Amino acid sequence: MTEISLQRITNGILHEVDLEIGSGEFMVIIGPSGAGKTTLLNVIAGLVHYSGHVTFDCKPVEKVPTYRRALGYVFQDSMLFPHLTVEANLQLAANSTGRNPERSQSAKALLKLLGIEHLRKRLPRHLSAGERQRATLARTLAADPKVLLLDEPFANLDDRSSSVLRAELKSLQKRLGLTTLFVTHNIREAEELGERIALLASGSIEGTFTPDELHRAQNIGNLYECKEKACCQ
Amino acid sequence: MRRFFYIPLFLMVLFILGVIIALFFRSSPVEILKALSSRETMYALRLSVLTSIAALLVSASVGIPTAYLLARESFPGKAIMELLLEIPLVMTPLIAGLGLLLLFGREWLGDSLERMGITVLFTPLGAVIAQIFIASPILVKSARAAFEAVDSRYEQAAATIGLSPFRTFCLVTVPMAKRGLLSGIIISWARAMGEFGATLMVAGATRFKTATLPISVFLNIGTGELESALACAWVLLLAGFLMLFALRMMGEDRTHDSLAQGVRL
Repeated sequence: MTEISLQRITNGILHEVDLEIGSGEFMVIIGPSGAGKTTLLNVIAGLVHYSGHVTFDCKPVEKVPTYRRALGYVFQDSMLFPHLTVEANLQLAANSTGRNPERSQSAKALLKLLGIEHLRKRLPRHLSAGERQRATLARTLAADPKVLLLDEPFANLDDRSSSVLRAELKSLQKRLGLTTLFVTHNIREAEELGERIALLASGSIEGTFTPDELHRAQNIGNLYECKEKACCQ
Repeated sequence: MRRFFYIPLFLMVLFILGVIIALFFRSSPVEILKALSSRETMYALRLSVLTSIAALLVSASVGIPTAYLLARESFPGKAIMELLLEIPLVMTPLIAGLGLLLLFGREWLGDSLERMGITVLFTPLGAVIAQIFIASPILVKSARAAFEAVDSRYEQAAATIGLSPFRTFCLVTVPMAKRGLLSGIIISWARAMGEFGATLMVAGATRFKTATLPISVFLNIGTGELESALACAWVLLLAGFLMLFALRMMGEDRTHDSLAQGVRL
């Protein structure tokens, strides 16, 4: 389990963002479109330039390339490699640093765990949106990450699939004890998943809340823009 | 209005068919096959295949990393370098050959290379170098388009599952760009096989030494040996048809894109 700390993170979109994510914590970042939610995840993953400091377990990671940060990142679009079957996608993640029989075995177990064992020989283009996101989540976990970043992973799914996957994600996160940062613009999703919820607006953290506090908060609508609030409730 | 456009289409098709018919029906197949099995034609064929494969290997090993860099990175002087890389596409091969002749001549690189025991001018190596100069920019252009068509977010996704940049390139980017890369390789190989002007200047036209198939055609026409010239032409045409067929097999749309990207100025 890894503790993440962001100190005075600034780039073209974020302004002096400070945030602490506890070891094994499930934190949700909510905010309207364009608030900088994806950029925040990209900062943690080392995919964009920024000033400030990011530490994993008090160790600065500025000079650590993305592929050595031991993190998993589920993008909004599945980004499964289209030329590989579901199983091959998972095996590539499991053996990303060389052949690892133990991880290969756990990759197979993940297919079962996420209920997509029967899809293992399929190419991504032959999967439904929900199946693709399950496979993406399985591939991410197959790499054995210490930190899990999710960027609105269920935004393209119907309500039912999204709800099922949320429950599965929550249960998996608890079981694996992964430090998780989940980005969404959907307040209901944030309340359901987050142990703590940080509100990001115009590139700044406006506050952190427990799910109950978020539910009761009256000023969220002002910060969040009425239009966004209306469409998400 | 569109039906009138069939007239220029038919005219173009007839024009090309006329050339092919002229090449295939000028002499009897028996005479052509006899010329085809001659030592000279076989030597030219072997030399063409070997030099074009050598040129292709060098062009691919230099051109593919170059194309990837141009597709993904921004750096100072990139625009000028892109322009320089495209110059061979607009340069007359004869002028390219003249430039190579001067560059590898005694006053420039020739002396230093001679001291190392390497002779470029009027040797098969000269033919390889001429083919590299002409074919590699075509490969770079096609490969660059192929890499640009691969969403760079796949490479980010690969990094987030722990794949190093080198493994990402080999296991994700190249397989995803495979079709475009193969198209580029086939087109540049065809160009290298058919290269004449630059090769003539750099490697010369000596039978059983530097005479590739196109140069053999030139030499045989010069000495009035039409059947031998046609035999070489048949081989080149057949190679061209096979390459076109391979491109078609890889997908008609892709083929058109790559062909266009390969030769568009």
